[in-house]
Parts: sequence; structure tokens; C-alpha cells
Amino acid sequence: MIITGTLVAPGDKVLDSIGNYRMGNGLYEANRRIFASVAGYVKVYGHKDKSDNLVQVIEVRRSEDQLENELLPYDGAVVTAKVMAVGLRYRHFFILYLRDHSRFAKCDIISIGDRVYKKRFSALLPKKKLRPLEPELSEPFKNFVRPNDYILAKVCDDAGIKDKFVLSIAEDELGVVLCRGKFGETMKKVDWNTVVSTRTGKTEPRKMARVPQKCMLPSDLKDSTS
Amino acid sequence: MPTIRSNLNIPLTHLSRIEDDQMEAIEMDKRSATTFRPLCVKCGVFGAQDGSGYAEFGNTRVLAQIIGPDGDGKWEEDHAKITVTLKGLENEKQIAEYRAELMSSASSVIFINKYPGKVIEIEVTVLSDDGGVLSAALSAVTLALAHSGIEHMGLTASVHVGMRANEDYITDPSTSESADTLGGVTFAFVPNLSQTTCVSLYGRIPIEATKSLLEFAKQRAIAIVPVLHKAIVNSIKEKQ
Amino acid sequence: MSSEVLRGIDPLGYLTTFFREGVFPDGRGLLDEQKLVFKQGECGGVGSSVVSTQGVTVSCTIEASVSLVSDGQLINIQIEPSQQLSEKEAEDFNNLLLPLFTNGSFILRENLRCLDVNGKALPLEWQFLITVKVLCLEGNLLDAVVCAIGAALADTKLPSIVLNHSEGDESAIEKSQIQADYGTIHKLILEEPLMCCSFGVFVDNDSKKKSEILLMTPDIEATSVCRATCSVVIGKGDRIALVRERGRITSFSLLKKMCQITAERRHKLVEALRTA
Repeated sequence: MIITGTLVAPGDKVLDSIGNYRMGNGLYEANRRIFASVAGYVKVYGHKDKSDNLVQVIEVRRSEDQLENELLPYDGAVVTAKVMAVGLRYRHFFILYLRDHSRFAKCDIISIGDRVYKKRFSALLPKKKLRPLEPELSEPFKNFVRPNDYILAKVCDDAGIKDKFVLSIAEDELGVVLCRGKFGETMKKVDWNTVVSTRTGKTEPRKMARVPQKCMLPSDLKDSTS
Repeated sequence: MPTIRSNLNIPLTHLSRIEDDQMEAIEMDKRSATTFRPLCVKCGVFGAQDGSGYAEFGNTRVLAQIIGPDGDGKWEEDHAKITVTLKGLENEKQIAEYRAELMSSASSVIFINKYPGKVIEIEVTVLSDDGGVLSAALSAVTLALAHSGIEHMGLTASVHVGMRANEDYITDPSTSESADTLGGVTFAFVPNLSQTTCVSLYGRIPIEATKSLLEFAKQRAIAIVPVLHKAIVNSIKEKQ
Repeated sequence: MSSEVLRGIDPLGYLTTFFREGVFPDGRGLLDEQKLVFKQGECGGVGSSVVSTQGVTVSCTIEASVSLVSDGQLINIQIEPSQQLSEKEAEDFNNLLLPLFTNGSFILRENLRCLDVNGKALPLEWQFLITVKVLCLEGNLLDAVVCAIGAALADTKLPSIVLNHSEGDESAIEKSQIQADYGTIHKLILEEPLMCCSFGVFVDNDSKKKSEILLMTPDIEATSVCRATCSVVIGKGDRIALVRERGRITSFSLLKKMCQITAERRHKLVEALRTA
């Protein structure tokens, strides 16, 4: 019987057979036996699965803090990312205006919480995850995010794309936190869907993240008091 | 003022030594066939780096560091890319050979499918070489992997065994002790799955003797397992 | 939550708030010293050391060879490039450290003569190849390397040389006439220990005076927002052995302060070595 809290090294046998447990992180099955795949503590906890049954999940984790456990951005984590480019553009030379057929924005994940990653991870932000209700394909990306914007996004699980992370800013608390205008000036928030350039006064549409009032960037604070 | 130039440059190790009485009197303590040299292993040497491990067998000291998994814009496969760099050895051929063994051993135990599109770099630095470098390096890498939190199948226990002409075995020989051996083997395996990841034979081992040599090496490798296990478990305790 | 988000997006803003209060994000005071740990004699060669300080760990090994007395260069420093240190930067540091030997800050040239069993100097000299391996680089390399070289030199043990070549003989000395006697070991006579400290100069753009804030041993994150960095090496008698700056330092008083802090730190080191 494995007791919760036992210290295991990779390769240690945790269970003889999976039995009634569900397998969590840090374990793998070989020859019907369950072994640890990382070094850490064994944890057994109850969890309500999709059909609302209470199941016992067993896993091996290094620490209580989920951020420390995960080496990479994990499913459901809120990360800070920078929009690098907006997908493929397809120019019709026979039509007078450019059609924006892009379906993805390419982003770089910079940090999670206060942990800044040493190397940035490539991620994609699909058009269908810009808003709680999927936007029309014809609505261009630039109404929501533009290149060089910093966004707060959530990591999703997308079976189709294996090598890059998939982000979403559909929820209210997610979206743009910092953006700069054409001349590098900071853009100030007008409302949750518009920003204004502090230099030219022109407004631009963006999907802003609804962060609590007290969490404002120093530049916003400075502008509001001046 | 004219400068004086000299071409004479003799490394200290090439100078003939004056054998004094003290040197004659020191008899190499005949080690038993099964004891290892004094060893010291540590899991997690640096706080900052993702994963690090240190293995010391007698005067052979090897440090391994793991950086990753990191994103890499160019690598778009659905599994991780593993790179190994080995520093600190002079012999180029040896570096290439050991690098290949380390790469094969690491790639076979890491669950590369769990890290698609990511790069895992393993940097091995040999601080001092006194025989058995490959097996010390394999031990250091396994400790670094355990420290880094990258998912893999289990500890890799590795050992270097030499065989003399009279079929005597010697465990973990130093460079001077290996001088009179016919050949030897570096043997590494994953105990929980009972699978071998490295069998590197060198020298002139007769075919009939190979099987018992490998058996002996496996037994010696099993003896190392509790040491590695303890080092890993201690490193987690220290983190708390 | 927001301040954490800032760290990745706007490190300058994030760090400014801390520096204004006089601390680093991890709570260390701006001019607080870091712990330095060193271990001698573990890495082969005639002398070696491993030094670890503030996220930087280096190992230093000294290999010796015998040569005739000449005016040529006796010391060869080789810092090995690694994943964190490019070849060009390593070459840069090599060229920076070499003058510390040629101007006699570490050891005087006459103390590199080979000595015989009785301690008499022979017409032969030691040539050193100093190899530095960078094991971990999350801060300033120079601090650790200067200390590592000093510690390795202090650890160096050289055999006495027996020369079968009479003094009056004008012919060239042959290899076969030189033998090493490990029965009598000599240690090197070194100059007083050197101390190296690295600093960063941070300019607070938002404050009215645009004040310059001095940071001691900044880490990589802090160095990226500094306008200038400076490393000072102080030797015997509070003499400046080396100053290396990157960026623009406009204030003389800051330079003076840096030298003062380094000299103080050096005194503490000398005291510690004396009482050890």
C-alpha cells in the first residue's frame, strides 16, 4: 500500500496495478505496473471527473505549488504572451482591398505568474478563441489584438496542434494588457474594447483584459494622476 | 633590448621523475574485485539551472547539466529534440564515442513524446579524468534528469568493470589500475524495467568470457542503485 | 498579480520600483555582499579550485610545464566557452585577465623560476596553462574567475627540479638533463590576494533628478536594465589592478565608491585568510 507523502525517485514502483485509481501526472505504466517518472512525493486525492463521479487520482509531484511542478506552460494556466505576427495574408491582386483571411496569431509566451521563462515558447492564438462567442471569419484580427501587443491568455489543449501551445483570450479577464501605437507611445484604455493613442489621439479597437482596478501598470497610474 | 626566446617547453607530466624511497614503498592497495572507488554523488548542484547532477568516483569527477525543455522555433516535430555536449576530455575520438553513448542512453529513457517541439540540452563537463569517465557521466546525467523534473522511465545505474588476463575482474578501475587489464565494459541499465541502455565493450575480451563479465557488471550496477536513489530523495527533501 | 505580469513585459518598470526602495527583487540590499565559497585541489593539475558565488560557478585548473628562461609569455589563460558563454566573450575575458599576470598583480615573474631541492633558483622557468571552465553563469563572471585563479595559484604545489647541467656549461640544456623530484614540494610565492567586484549603474529615468543608483553584483535581469556595468579589481596596497567598464559612466564619485567598496571587501578577505 502506497502512503501519500512517500518520497519516490524516477523508476520507483508506486503500484502493482492501477486498480481503482486514476493516473495523474508523474507516473507511467509498464508491464502492468505503475512507476514514477519524476522525483517527488506521492499524492492521492479525490477528484470529480466528467460524469461527476468521485475518483481517486494518484500522482507524483515535486511540490505543492503547481507552478513549481510544471516545467512548461500547462493546460489552463494563465500566461503573459506577446503577439508577434498575425497569420497568413492572402492578397487578391484583382480586388481593391486586402482580405484578412488569417486564422491564427503567432505569439511568444514570456512568463507565467512571476516566473519569466528563459526561452520563449511559440504559441498560436486562433481566431475562434478571441471572444466568448466566436467572431465572424470576416472580422479582422486587428480589432482584437495587433502585433507587439502584450496579452494575458490561457493555455488550451488542442489535439490538432502538437508542437506549439494554443492560447485563448475568450474570457473577460484575458486580453491585451499593454499595447504601443505606431510611434511607440503607450495606448491608454478608453473602455474594454477601445484604446486611444496618447500622442495622436486616434482610437483603435482592442480586446482589453479586465484586470482589477488596483492592478494597473505604473504608466497608467502616472497618466491618470497627471 | 633584444628579447630572448626559447622553444623548450616540457609539460610536467613528461619529465622523468626521480623515484624516491617513499614512492617505492607505497604499494597499490589491492582493491577487492567488487569494491568501488570512494564515491560521492549529488543531485541538484546548482539552484539556478534546470537540472544538475554530479558524480565522483575516486579522482574522476563529472558534472552534468540539463537545460530545458525549451521552446525552439525551428524544431517542429511532435517529440522533443535531445542534444548532448561533452567537454573536458582531450581525445576527440573519445569525446565522439562517449557523446554517442550518452545520447543513446538519454533518448531511450526520456519520454520525448511528452514534450513535442521542445529542445532538451544535456551538457556534460568532465572536471577530472582518472578512468571510468563514461560510467560517471551516465550517473551524473541520470541524477541531473531526476533533478530537472523531466519525465523519464527511471534511474540508469552504470558501472565500469575491467578484466585482467587471468579472468580477474576489477570494479571501477582508475587509469593506473586499468593499465594491466585486457579490456573492460561500461554497463548501464534501468533496474525497474530491467533493460540495458549501454553496453560499451573495449579491449580484447574473449567471447566466452563476455557473458560472465556482463553478469558481473550487472551485479555491480545493482549495488550502485541505492546510492543514486538516496541522493535523489535527499535533493527533494532539501528543497522543502 | 499585475506586478508579476510586469516582470516579463516591462522589466525596467518592475525593477525600478525595487531599486527606488534600495533592494533587489529577492530582498537583498543594493550594496550587500554575496557569499563566496571556494574549494581547492579537486580538479587535477598542479593546482586547482572551484569557486561559487552568486549564481556563478567556475573551476580553474593549472597545468605546468618547464621552459628555459626567456622573455616570452609565461602564462596562458584559457576560458572555455560553454552554452552560456560565447567563444568571443571567452576570448575577451582571456585578453582582459592576461595583463593581471604581465603586470605582476598575481605573481611576480621571478617567482616563477624553477627551484631545486634546496630552494635555489635554476635557469628554468615554469609555464602555466590556466584552464577555466564555466559551470554555471547567472551573474558576473569576472568576480568568480579572479578568485578562482587566486585560489588555484595558492593551491599549486610544484616539485623541485634536478638539473644535470653544470653552471659553466654553455651548451643548450637538454630534456634528458631535467628531472622532477617530488620529494621536496615548493609552493608559489604569490602577491597579496586580489579582489574583484562587479557593479551596475542604474539610471532612474522617472525621478526628477535622474539619479544614478549603484548596484553591487547585479544578476542577469538587473544587468539588462543597467546603463553601464563596471568591474574593479583591487590588489596589494589598495592599488587598482584592473577596471573594466561597459556602457557610459558619467559620475566620478560612483567610480570612487566602487573602488572603495572593493578595497573594503578585499581587506575582509585578507583578514579572513590570515585568521583561517
